Amino acid sequence: MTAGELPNESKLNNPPDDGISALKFGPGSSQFLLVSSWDCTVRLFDVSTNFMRMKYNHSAAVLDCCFQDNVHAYSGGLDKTLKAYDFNTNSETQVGSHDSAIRCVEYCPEVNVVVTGSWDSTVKLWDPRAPCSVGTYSQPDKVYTMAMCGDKLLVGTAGRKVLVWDLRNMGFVQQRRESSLKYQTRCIRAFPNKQGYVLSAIEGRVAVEYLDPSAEVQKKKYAFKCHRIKEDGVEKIYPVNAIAFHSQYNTFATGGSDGYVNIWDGFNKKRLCQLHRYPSSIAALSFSHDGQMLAIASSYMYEQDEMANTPPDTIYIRRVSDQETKPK
Amino acid sequence: MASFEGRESDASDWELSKENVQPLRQGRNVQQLLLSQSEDETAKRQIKEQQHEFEAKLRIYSGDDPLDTWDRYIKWTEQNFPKGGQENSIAKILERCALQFKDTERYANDPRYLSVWLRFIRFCPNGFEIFNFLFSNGIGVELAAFYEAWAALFESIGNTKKADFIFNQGIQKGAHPVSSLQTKHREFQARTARASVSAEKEQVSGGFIPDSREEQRTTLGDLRGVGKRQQAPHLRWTKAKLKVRKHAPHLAMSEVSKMTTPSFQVYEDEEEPKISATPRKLTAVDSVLSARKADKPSDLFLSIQSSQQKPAASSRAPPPVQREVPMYCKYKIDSGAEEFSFEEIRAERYNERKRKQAEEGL
Repeated sequence: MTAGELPNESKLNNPPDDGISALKFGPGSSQFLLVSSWDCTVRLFDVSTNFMRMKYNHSAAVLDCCFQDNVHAYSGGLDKTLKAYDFNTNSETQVGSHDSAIRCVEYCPEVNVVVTGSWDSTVKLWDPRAPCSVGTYSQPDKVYTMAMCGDKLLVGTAGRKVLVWDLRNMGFVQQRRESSLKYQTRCIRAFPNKQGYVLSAIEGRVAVEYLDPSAEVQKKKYAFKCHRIKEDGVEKIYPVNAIAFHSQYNTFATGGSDGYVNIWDGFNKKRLCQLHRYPSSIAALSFSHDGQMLAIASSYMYEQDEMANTPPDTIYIRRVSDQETKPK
Repeated sequence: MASFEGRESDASDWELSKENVQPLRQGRNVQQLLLSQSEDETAKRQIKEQQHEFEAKLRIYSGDDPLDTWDRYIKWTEQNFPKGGQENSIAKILERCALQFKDTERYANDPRYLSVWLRFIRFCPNGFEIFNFLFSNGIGVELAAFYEAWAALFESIGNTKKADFIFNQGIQKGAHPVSSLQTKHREFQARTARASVSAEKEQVSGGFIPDSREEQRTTLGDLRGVGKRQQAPHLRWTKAKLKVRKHAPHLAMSEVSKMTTPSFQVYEDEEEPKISATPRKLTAVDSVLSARKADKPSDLFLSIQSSQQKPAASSRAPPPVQREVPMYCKYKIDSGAEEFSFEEIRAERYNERKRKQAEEGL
């Protein structure tokens, strides 16, 4: 189990027993990987030794998790509860709750605040020092995805809405946008250089958008088709579930239900590479902070309903080269 | 609902805003009507929760009668969203339901499914097209209600001949229950007979001015030749009609021509290039508060159109190979009126399983 099929890729031991909902590399180190799952657990992996360091439970499926720093984590899910976990003391705290399931959990180091987005159509801010809720902000619809862009918060909701909030001034919404893609928003992630974001949709398409509302900058936005497979004259269109940015090169990886991972150079509109096909849908992706490693969750997401013999939920750690991630 | 039991004296509350209630053929439950019109936050949330529950059920149903959930949801929506318009998603729900089961053989002649279509037709400007589609796809063709509704639509536009034809076709096919269809047919015949008799009477007695000796204008008379020599018919205004028109501002031709040539001379700069037409702004559009967008054709309508373009014989056959196939259960994502993500559908199923396990554990 320890060695993958490829020399630069390995499978993690002790993966979750049910669908993988999120995985995040720790800040400032590529040693730790946090993984949340439908099996009610949040697991901390030591990637360098391929060892599961720790595990804690929610009372229901966990939909998202994030690091505050290398020893503190936050997580939320179907139990509507936000939990904080201290890996040093092995202790958990129930921070607070939403009226419905928590779909997204993010930490913003610039403002030192934890943000949760829920299907109850609100976003809540939490002070990690107390920890307690510092505000509830209603959104136009159920929150499906969230991303941090410096001190800006990007919220993608049902109904293809995208909202840009300023975490330093939550009094009003900075920008109300509509997704430029026709179908449901699956994932939003921001460029590390904070100029814009990438949005993926349920039907094989990805959009590159810029935050600056000036017409000149807005002209640069575009969208492209991907994660489609042509067979016998039929084009199969897959959901694009995951996006992860390379923090140094501003390139990004996308993962689809076709089991493929593509790495793109968004500014030059080029695909840098396509990795081999993974056994199941790509549910989540994360680059390590130095961009040397890419964590890939291959996990069926029930996009085609109940199916017999789904491949096991697996986490791959891939050592990526500059050739795969650096703009040419 | 419990919170409203103490307010029975207010049962007539809804009458204060009855212009906001759309009439329903099967009537309304007063309690539910009060609840749906209440400004109370808890009541609103209750309705929202119930709706979400229905929406979730549509997606995770695994038994052998999925239409049952839809049927209950539609009835519930009609009762709980009495206002119609934007907040009312009933048309959308009906459409989604109709679309989802249009190829399900088992439901083709299910009265519940037909009633979904018949309700949906009320929201459509092109009912005839849909009836044709249903007929050629064999949906509801064994049910009397189908022919009754179709004939009624023809009758409503005054095409009694076609309506009669539809009735006969239904009876000939032995649509169930035939007795009801026959009764409706007889009633229809009686109606048309009465109408034609009274129309004749009107003609005999000279129309709307009884003592007029002048010839009547033939109704919207098109210039068809009359008699052996194909002479032009009399197309005169009767006195009565002329009188009516006199009330309207009436200008003689001479007056009109006076207006077009003004008494003063319009100065024209000869060096300036002439503008052939006065530039005009479409002020009419600006003055409208908000122009209503034309309804875009719905998915269902498009699928009906595409199915009608091919020969009727193959319409029951599987649809031709599409060039693009979305690789997820799309009908579950946009089932009903609410949008769901994969995670939400999975969560509903997850919670359902947990509930069952808890029940078994007890």
